[in-house]
Amino acid sequence: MYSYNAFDHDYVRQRVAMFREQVERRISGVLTEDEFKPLRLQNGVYLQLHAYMLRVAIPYGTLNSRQMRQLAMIAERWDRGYGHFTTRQNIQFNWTKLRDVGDILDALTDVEMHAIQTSGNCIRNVTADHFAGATIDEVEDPRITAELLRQWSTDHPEFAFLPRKFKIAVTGAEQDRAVTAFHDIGINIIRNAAGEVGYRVIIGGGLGRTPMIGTVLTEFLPKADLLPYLESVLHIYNRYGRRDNKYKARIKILVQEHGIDQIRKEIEAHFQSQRLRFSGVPDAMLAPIMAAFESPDMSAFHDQTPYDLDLDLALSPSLAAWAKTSLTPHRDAHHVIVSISTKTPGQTPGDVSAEQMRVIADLAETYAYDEIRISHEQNVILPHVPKAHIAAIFQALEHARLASANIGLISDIIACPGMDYCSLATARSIPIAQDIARRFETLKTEHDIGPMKIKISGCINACGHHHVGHIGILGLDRAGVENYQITLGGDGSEDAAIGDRTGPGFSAEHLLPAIETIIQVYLSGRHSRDESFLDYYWRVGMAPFKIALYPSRTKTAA
Amino acid sequence: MTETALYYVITANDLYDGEVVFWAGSDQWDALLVNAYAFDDIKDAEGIIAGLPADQVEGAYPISVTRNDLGALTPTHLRETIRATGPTNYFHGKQNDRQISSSYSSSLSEYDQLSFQKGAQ
Repeated sequence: MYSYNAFDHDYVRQRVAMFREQVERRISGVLTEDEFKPLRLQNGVYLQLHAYMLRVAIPYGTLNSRQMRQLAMIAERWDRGYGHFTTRQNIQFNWTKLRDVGDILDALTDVEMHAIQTSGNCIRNVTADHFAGATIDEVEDPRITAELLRQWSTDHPEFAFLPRKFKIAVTGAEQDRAVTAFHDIGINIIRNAAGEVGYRVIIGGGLGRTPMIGTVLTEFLPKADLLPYLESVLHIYNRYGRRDNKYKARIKILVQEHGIDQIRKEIEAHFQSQRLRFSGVPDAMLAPIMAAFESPDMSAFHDQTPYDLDLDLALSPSLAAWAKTSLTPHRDAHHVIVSISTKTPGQTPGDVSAEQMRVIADLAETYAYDEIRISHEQNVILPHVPKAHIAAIFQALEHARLASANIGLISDIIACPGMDYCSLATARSIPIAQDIARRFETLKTEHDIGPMKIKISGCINACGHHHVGHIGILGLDRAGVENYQITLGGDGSEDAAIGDRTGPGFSAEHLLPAIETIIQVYLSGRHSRDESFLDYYWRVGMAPFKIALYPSRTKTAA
Repeated sequence: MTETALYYVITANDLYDGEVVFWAGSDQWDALLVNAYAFDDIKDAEGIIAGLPADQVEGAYPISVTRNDLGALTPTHLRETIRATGPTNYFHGKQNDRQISSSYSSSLSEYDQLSFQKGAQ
């Protein structure tokens, strides 16, 4: 993985020192809150319901064991013994004290981490496919591009005060696990008919109060043109993006209001002049980045007969059940990708205790080439695991309460922090996720239901990605009472779709029965177990769900 | 037990710790709602907020509360109940380290009471 050079170390240390001074000036009253707020946000510090929250960047979701152990130390020393992995591959500490933030940032710097640009109207942490470098269907490791973009976008003087926040996601695989169609810029690394590797660039996607599927800006961008081209995209957005209304300030609104053809024309025109001044990235700069993401040396296994994992699975039904959901084929036949669920039914999605972090760090270091990933689905990934070590890893995870066999199933729920923590939220989301997970765990129907993505947001800002949930849940405030809208048919994959609303919302008490009703409609109507919930929805549409969810209304209508 | 009329309490976050605090009168802030000063008129609360110094708390604002026969204050909005007590997913906020009036949970809906009970497990 990428290691800081002398410039990076110096830059991050200086930023921490600068922020320490800013905190002191705030505490002494020299800075007002209005003056201090943009400064703390630029360093990842929010004021939430109960405390200051520090959001730490995990660039493209990649960590090593040393970094994970440092996060564990921070959780224990300065927080309440846990961290919360977010839907953008970051980690949040929910209970930090303002006077401790400088020390925490210094501790992060010790392991080459920071909180810069995890908030504010700037280019945020660049996210990537959490299976990068390991998955079979990949043209190229997207983290090379993501790291290049991180370096380009960090402290970029022109883009420090954009109209709104700006999110970029990169994938190099056919299967889009990075939700690229719902980012301000989505980048797909592709190979053209001539065999050249380049980029399909999508712009104007997003969730929030105005969900939109991104539009392809260019079908194939040569690799060398990436930075000058994106600089032109950002330049046009910075120049024309609306600043009069924060709800209309994202690039998706700019594209909607002017049309993709006009925006493309503006970008292309700027790019032509930009290209003369900025020819891209010199090889000398790119070479160390590429080297940082070379695959680990797996040759020790290549002379061996592939490990027969089936023997292990036959001996242990619990291992077999876990393996069925948690293992994904690796591009190397001797290895697999392991997904570790943080969604033990009843637990808070994304919360991992310091003790669990250390277990994961130990497993990564001992068995998995010291690589860890965080997924936007709030799970933890060991991307390169020799098959021979699967049984040992499962045993350790089971001991640490991290071995739920529910990856991709109904209890593997994305949930934003909601009104239990977030100052913007209008309803709770975590207790809803806990209730759903507990119920289907009790019913033991998860595996029968099959692939299912439930995503819950506690407000219209959609941090829980509810628009792209197979079942999406949006919590709102109706006259001081929590009320939950349900959407069906959303999809964050390469088949991008925004969910359709079922109808009027449900009270917290009635939400779980409604979810059970939806599942019952699906189970009783599907052709076979091979027809997934999403396939069923696309076949039959909303009608049977509406009839089951709102029987009195549909009777009246009839 | 009958609820009486609405009162108003000033709440904010402590500048240093971010902890939820309540104005307790005489320029004092307290971490417990039970010790908050209750105003009859929101304008009086707003007058205090307007004169607060910049180096003690963040984001002060008035919230409405009710007071029962025993004098316990209960926020009228769930958000403020959560701020006063802690997250409901599991108890690791003020519920853990402070004495919280049971009147909070008794004022909640059945579903919310259940959430609070589950959070305590």
